[in-house]
Amino acid sequence: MRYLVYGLVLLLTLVLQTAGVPGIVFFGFKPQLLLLVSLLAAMILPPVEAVVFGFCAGLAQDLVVGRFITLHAGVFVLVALVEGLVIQRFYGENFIVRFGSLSLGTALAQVLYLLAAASFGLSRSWDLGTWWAILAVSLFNGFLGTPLYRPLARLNRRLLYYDELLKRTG
Amino acid sequence: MKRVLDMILRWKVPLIILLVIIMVGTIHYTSTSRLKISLFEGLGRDLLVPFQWVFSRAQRFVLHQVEKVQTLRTLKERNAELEELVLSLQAEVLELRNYKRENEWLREALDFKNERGHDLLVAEVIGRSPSNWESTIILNKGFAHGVEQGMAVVTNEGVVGTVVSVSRFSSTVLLIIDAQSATGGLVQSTGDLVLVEGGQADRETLSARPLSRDTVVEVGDVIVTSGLSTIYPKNIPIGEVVAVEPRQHNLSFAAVVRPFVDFNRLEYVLIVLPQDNGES
Repeated sequence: MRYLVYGLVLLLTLVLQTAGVPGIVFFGFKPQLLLLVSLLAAMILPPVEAVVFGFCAGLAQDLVVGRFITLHAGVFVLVALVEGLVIQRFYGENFIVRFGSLSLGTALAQVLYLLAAASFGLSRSWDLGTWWAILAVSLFNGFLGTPLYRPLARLNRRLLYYDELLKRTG
Repeated sequence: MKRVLDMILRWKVPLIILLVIIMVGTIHYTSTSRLKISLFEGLGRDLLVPFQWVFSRAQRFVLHQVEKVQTLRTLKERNAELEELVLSLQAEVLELRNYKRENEWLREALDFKNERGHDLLVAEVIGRSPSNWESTIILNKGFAHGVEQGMAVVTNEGVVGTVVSVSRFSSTVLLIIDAQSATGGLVQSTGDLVLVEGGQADRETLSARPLSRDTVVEVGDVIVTSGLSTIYPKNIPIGEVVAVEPRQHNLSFAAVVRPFVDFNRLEYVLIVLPQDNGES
């Protein structure tokens, strides 16, 4: 059942991201919701599931609005792995750690995307505007994701419980 | 199932290497300009169209209600302003009618050929690129409605962009403010050619570079499409020059152009169809 819910979360985020968030901007920049849910999944789910979730989220973004198919998928997988490692080493329940790791994860994903895209022909100057955009989106994702962690973690625990219940009761 | 999982775990490293190779290959393949999108992309985009349509409608409804409440406060002042505007516009309309008559007469006199020759298809904006590095919008019209890659997209205010990929029921438009966009333009007052490019740091303005040394551009000049490319029809407004910045030791310059189209508030656009397409 929880995989169905993960899929629905992914679909809702994708629709929100592509159709719903043009009104939500921070200094002219949009939040990266699919990246955000991948980072949150990396903090909540076991590593393999988090990587698969990140891959699916990135691939969905690539297929629907992406320019390079599987580039976002690859970036999201790498960032989910790094995020998972960071959260294992630090106390993830602390909101400063959560905010920091979400912001840094977003920044890392954007830098990786721009570097990879540049190597495939989408060059972009690394001027102040680019760094400002990375900083703004990273902070935006940090602010949005930090309060979302607890409800999502609770939802995941509940889903695990129901799955176990279904398995035992048949 | 357990045997499959065991096998995957045993062959973990070669499988990861294989996956990375496939991903790099796919990125490389899709990084070049493609005439058609893949089956999976088309399927993904078409499946999402109804959700995006419902969501964009709901969002638009909420935003309009909020706007309505906000405008109620200033309604009286706005009404007086608008009445004044109507009077001045009526005078302008009368003047323009005279110009139109005069223009028609001159065209007939010069045996002027009508260059428009295009049909327009109305499309609704149902989505936008989530990336901050790409400026694209998604329209609810695809190849089932006659849309093809490379078609121009405009509004009554001016140029919006070009269709870059098409699925059955949706199409993706690269906006002229995107870093990958370059459009041939013309300074309306002088007729000088310029190259209008996107990718400005503020992601709201365009950059116009002269194509010859003698080009003169001043603040307030209007840039329109040159019609030299096969994409945009001639004389569609692009934007107004708001600043002229010198470059390369004052030997050249780049003009900052503010587009007439407000890309954050796009709801409906017009896809320019070739005349033949509409007839067939």
